[in-house]
Amino acid sequence: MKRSLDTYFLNTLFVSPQVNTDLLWTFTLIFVILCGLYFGFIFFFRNKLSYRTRAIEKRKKELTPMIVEFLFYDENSHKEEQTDYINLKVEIRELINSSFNRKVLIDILMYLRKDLSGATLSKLFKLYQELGLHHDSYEKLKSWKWQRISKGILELTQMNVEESYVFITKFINDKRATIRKQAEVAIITLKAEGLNYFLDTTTYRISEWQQLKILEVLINKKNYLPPSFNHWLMSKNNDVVLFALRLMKNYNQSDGNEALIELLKHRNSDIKLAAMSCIKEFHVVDALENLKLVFWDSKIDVKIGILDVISSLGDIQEITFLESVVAKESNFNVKSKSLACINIIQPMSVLPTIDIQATDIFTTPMDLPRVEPEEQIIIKKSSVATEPNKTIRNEHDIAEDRFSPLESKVEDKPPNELAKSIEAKSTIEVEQQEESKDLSDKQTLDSFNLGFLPLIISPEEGPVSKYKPNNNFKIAGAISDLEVVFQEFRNSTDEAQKGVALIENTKNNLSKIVAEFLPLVIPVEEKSERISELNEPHDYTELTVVYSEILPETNFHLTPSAINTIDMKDIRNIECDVNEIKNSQRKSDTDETSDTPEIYESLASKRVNEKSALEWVLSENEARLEMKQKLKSILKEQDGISFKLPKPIFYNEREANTMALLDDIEALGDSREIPLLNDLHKNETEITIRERMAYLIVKLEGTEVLKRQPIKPNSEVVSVFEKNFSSLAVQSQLIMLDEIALVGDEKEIPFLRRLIAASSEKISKKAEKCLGEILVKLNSQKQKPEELNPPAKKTKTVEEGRVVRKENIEPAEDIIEKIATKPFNVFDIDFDIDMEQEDLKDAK
Amino acid sequence: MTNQTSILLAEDDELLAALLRHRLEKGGYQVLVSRDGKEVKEYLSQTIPDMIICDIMMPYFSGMELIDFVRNELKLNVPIIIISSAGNEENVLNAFELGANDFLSKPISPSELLVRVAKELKKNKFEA
Repeated sequence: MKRSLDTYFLNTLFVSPQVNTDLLWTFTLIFVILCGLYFGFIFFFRNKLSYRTRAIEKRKKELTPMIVEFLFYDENSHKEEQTDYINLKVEIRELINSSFNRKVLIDILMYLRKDLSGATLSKLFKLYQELGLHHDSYEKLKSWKWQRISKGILELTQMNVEESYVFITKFINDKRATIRKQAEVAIITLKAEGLNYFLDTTTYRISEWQQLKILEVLINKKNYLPPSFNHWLMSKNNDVVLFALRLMKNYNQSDGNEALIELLKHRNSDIKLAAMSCIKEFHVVDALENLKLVFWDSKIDVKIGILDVISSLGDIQEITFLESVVAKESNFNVKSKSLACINIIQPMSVLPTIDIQATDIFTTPMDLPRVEPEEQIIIKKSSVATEPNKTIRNEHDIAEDRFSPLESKVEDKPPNELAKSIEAKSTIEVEQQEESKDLSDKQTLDSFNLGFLPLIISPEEGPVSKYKPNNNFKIAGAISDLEVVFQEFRNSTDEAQKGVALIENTKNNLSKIVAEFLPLVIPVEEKSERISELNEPHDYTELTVVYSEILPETNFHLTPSAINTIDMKDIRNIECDVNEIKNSQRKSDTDETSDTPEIYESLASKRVNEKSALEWVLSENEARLEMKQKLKSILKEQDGISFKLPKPIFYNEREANTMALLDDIEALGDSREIPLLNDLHKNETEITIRERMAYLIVKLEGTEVLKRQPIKPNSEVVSVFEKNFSSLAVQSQLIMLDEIALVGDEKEIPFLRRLIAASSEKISKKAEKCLGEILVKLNSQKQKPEELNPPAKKTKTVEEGRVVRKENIEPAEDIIEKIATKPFNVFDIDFDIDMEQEDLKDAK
Repeated sequence: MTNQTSILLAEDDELLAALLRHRLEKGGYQVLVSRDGKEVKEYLSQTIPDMIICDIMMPYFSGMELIDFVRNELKLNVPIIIISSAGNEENVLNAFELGANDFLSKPISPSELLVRVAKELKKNKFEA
């Protein structure tokens, strides 16, 4: 066995370490415990975080309405609202004793800050300080954790706590970059002089990003007047100098030219470049000498910058310097830039030289045999060639003559026939006017349709009679020598006849169509002619169109039953129809009136003649009234129910009052009112009132005398503050007493007396003071009762309030301005009772 | 209360919604707040408010889609005021093109909103 084991061990290449199994178990156990602890911690902290988040959310929901109430509290609201507001204040005072609540409040305010603007934002800032939440932020500044400090600075900046400026300035040179940057932005945001302080004191670098952020803050600052930034051009901090240069450029401050020139000699290339940028922007020509001076010892990017400035500010005098740069400078970019500068100052003074060949190389080649590049098209009449050939060229020909020489053959025909023949079978003769005429070739192209071309004749021929049958002519020579006569082609006689026939057909068709639905079209001079006569030729452009309105068929007879169906509103429409009929009669005799209804017949048959227009109008009005009455009478007869309704009774003032009195007696009275009713009944003359009185006497005779309880005055006056007072902490009770002193009245006196008698010394003293203030206030009210009881000062319902608001809507700007300028102090000013101007006026 | 002008406020930010609701209610309006586009759609299928104030960025259903839904599907002429933090030109133009009546960019002034609401309602009343 042992031997076999040895063999086994010897043969194996890997030997597993012999670890004690117990140790392995121990390690496993430790690992499991650690895992358990790890997951336990994760579970615990995760739960804790989620619980905290839930708690914060819950508290946020509770606190948000309070914050909102504070933000939109109106100082002029009615007393109930003011009381609620005081209770809310007391409640929130108690809530902010807890650090958790304060944290949640800060979160809410910080969150709302980004969504609000205007007067509400100002109120938010005030509220933050009124609640003393800025003290929490100050506490954060004392922390050793950079994130807490940074958060504190951010809160104070966002909530615009100007008092924190002094505390934040301490962090300007903090070694931790995050805090430093936060502090830089904060002091610039909080105060205008923050930038001066920052530029004066900072010893650290200012990153490009930070410079941009600060610039953004400055741009967004309202009414910001930038200081003269040239003061910081002498700073020991290069970044400050650089930033100052950039700010100078941004705000166009050109009052530091000398400093800018001096900065060209600065060791720092960035400052040099920034200075050059300013020099270029402000056009500081005096800097040219210094630019040239520092050029040779500068870096390449600075050299290029200098050349750029020289090209912008320099003149011809700088070309010598630039040429020397080209000659001496080895860097390609600088050289190219200087050449470009020369060309900018003196355009085209430097020409391309690289790969440019010498002029001698270029030789003029031998003359080639001269070839006329163009072909000339000659159009001539084929029969008689009496005139020298004239060359006709146009774009169409030039384009085509390369492909085929053309010969045009124009026959001797009158112009109209000539045109036809050209259109039908035109022949174009093309002659190539070369030295060798043998090469000329004539081809006929019957397929070309040249009908669209104008006729062109030579000037020697003079004006040719257009209708002369044998007017032969030949066209040749240069096109510039030709006189063009534009000839209008007219249709031949046959065609004209065809045209006339066509027009006649059209007329016939037209007459048919007109007979069907079109208005009558009659010539002015022949008004009496019928439509059928339109077949005769007329100049249709000279015709006058007479419009005759074709009325819809109105061949109905108004029977009494039919009239009943007519609404009275439709009478107007009927009248319109009458007018139309009358007008149509005047215009045309041809209109038929036989189908008009019977009721209109008398009107329609009357012609408006020369007697008088007035007579006609009167007669028409009469007829109209007659018709209305007729219709009304018919309707009355039909509507029998309307006659059965009682007529309305209109009371005079005395009668109305009596009826109102009777209404009251009916509602509230008993048998004791019967004698009064009897007296009234005797004196009353109006039958309806007498009847009413008699009815009431009968009605009240059997009633018992009502036993009315006298209204007792509410002897126990309860203060609205008393209910909540006992449940508050001492601090809150003191605050409430302050508020009672401001808004309280006589109802608070018993409550205050009780407090004085049975309270702690602190509360008792405060209550005593409060009571004194209320008494003084009440005394002064008694002296001026008329001023303090304005008639208009009453509690409005929501609906009433809405109506008032709607009626007195002020312009938006006024409201916003009013809100913005109105002083707001949550805890101090809220309950100052100010008499409104209107109220004072009313009181006077 | 039944005659009060009803306003549908579609805003996913609870704090801002609560604040605006309070301000509008104080201004005499009846306000219903919807947290997302779905709620808005459900509400609109039941009742038609006198005015809609909505945020552009909302879950499920953006403000732009809401305008489109109201104008083209429901064919309503209810005044719509858009509130958005993304007050770039493109957004504004798109909103107006779709049929929004007014646009307010965050941060907003609640008093200004109140004035604009009154103005739009008055305008709508005259147009009707």
